Amino acid sequence: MIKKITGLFERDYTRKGFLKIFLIGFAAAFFATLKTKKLFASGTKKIYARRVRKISADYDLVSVEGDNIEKMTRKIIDELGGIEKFVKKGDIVVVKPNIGWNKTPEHAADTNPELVAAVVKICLDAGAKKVNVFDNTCNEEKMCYKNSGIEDAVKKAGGNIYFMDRFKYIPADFQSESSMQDYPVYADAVNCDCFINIPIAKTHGLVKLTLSIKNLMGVWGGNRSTMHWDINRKLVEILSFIKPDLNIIDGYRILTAAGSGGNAAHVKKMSTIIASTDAVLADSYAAKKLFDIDPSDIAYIKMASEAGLGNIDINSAKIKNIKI
Amino acid sequence: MKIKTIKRITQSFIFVLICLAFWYLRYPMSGWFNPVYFFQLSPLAAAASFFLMPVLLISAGLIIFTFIFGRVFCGWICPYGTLMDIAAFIAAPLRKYKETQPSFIKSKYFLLVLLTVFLFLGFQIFYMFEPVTAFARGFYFTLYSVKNNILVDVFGKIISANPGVTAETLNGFFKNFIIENRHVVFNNNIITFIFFAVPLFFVLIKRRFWCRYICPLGSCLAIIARFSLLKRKSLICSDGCLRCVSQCRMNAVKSDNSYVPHECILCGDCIDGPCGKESEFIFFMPFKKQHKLNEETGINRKDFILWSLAGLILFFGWKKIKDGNRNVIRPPGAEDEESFKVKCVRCGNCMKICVTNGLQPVLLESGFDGIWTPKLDPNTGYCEYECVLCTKVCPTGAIRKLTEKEKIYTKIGIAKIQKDVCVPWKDGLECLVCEEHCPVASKAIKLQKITVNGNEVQAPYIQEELCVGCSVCENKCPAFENNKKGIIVEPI
Repeated sequence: MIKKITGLFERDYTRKGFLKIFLIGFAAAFFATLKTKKLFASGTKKIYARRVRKISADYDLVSVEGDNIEKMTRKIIDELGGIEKFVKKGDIVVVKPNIGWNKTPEHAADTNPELVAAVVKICLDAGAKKVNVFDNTCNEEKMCYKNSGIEDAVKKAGGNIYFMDRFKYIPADFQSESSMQDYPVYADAVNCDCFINIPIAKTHGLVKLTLSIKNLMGVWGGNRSTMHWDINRKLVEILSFIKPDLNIIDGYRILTAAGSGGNAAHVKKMSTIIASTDAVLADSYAAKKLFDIDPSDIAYIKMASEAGLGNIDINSAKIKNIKI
Repeated sequence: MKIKTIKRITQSFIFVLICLAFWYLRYPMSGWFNPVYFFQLSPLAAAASFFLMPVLLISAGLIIFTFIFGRVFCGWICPYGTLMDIAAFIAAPLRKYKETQPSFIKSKYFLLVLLTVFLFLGFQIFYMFEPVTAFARGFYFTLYSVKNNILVDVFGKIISANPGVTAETLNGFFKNFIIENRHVVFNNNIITFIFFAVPLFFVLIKRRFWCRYICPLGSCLAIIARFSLLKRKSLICSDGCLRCVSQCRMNAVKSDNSYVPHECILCGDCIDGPCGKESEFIFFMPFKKQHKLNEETGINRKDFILWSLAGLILFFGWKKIKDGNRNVIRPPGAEDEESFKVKCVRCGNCMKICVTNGLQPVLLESGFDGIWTPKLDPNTGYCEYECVLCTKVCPTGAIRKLTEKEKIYTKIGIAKIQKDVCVPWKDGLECLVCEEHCPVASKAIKLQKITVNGNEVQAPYIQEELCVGCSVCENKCPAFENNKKGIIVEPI
């Protein structure tokens, strides 16, 4: 065989023969590029803010206290008016927990896996076509997914959990002046029918509290470290871009200091789950109830309400408290 | 079936198996074969680890195997040897066979003695020539990372241009089994590739040039194979075609139909009879004297003593610059700098398995005897706080095995805040990325209120007794000015 191949180079070529081979090769390359052009065509250049369905829940906010997380989750969604209000048959649902850190559930640095699994199950029962679960992690993604227990729990519940692909981050177009213009956002998080945000309530060194608005940072890519400069304004813009349909704050275990977890002394069991369609209201209520901080002291919540993205006033909202 | 065919099948099977084992050496280490054992096969690794227990046992296994069967390892198993054979096959039309044996056939023994003398004087440069680790380095640092990155890019482009169910399924399959979900980068991989590829070009001169004249593992096995029980019995050959002589890739068959047992790698070139007749290997026949041994090109006592002396003189003439200080951040569990450099066989396992791609090969930062040793490079990654993967895959114990509990108290460096770059210290703006990422339970990065440019901000400072040097702060630090970040981790 080798001789055959090397023989090709030993043959004497006439000018005509050389031209023939050259032309055939050129034509082959040309057709190959034509065929493969579609294969490698670059996708959409920019992505616009998520289109949101109008949802009118029975209550502005529901808060449940109890011990059985699955029961609490079912109860809370029933009280808001049932899952049918949020998830229609054949919908593609995104469930966005906080899987930021490589810590076990007891450390309360990541969302409780039982809560995530319960939400996934409820969505699938309501007829969702696909429930996607993902997060752009701070620590190494494989370890975070595994050690937080969320990967196993979601797979068991039937959800579709995956690592975020670098090629699916697309620059965001805010269509107005914004400090977040052209930051890459994850396409799956925007092109979905229903976005359910499940943060864990914990403290944060810079913005005081990590709640549902801060959790939305997990669908953004690019240099996330520089995002921390002038973070409050950016958080408000993130919220205006994603606008989650439902926020369920995991207050079962909360972190009262050091938001990346690891210290058992900082974990406090509150056995509470808070749900609202309004991210700002959910954050305000959680800040007041779980951490006893006045929501207007937290800059990004105040700015979000001033921008008209939600209600900061807990007293005027229609709130239901339940104990199981 | 011809022996040569069996050899080729076995060789390619083992080669693919080794490549797969290397490729799948990654978190969560659920692989069916851990390539660590493969690196422990080499007696040189046993010497480098100063006869650590599992390494000693496994390499003793190879020695016994060689004593029975001869240099089967070189001919049938060694991945670098397989690569040589493939390269020789491709280069066949370009090479002119030469029958004559060059006089420097003893060079590999000389190299072995030299390297051994150097090793016991505390200067390990086996890594330069050891074939298994040379192959592993080439595989990990260049072939694997480049292939992976190309696959990630091409596949990503195809999927983003053709969304759909098939693409999603394929994507899931690819990500689970074939590629990493990110680019894998290794520093100085071009230099590593040159070191890896140049010996392959020697096949233009001779097939298995490396194995004949350089390979220290091969010469180590050759010393044992001289007494091996499996020997070649040759039929009486009278027509003198000498095809077996010119076919032999190791020049083990001589023109008088005698053969050199310690050069023979049992490849089967001569057995299947290029002349039409057959010779055969027989087991344990030293008494019947049916085989003709040619002893002229081995190592003898005189050589050994002379070369050891030469090695000693060379070593003291060299006078390497020794300083016990660390210039680079070593992985957790690394021994003190001097013995780390001796024990490390540069297989690259720790760098391959590092989940954040933080461990990188050193070039010359830690001296000439530190080439390809691992360092933690905060520019490419960081040390995951509760991860002990690199300590699990070190074949020679240069990185001590650690439990998760021990590891989180193992200091590998210390962070220093650069107040002329750090944003809160310099400009008085808010930025606490390092504090957020600090994995220590009670935070080694603490906050203090300062006033800069009229702004009152929280600024980070380091509590040095808590800092373990994991470098996540430097890796994530967004401030970058004058070629340095706002926080820098120094080795300890």
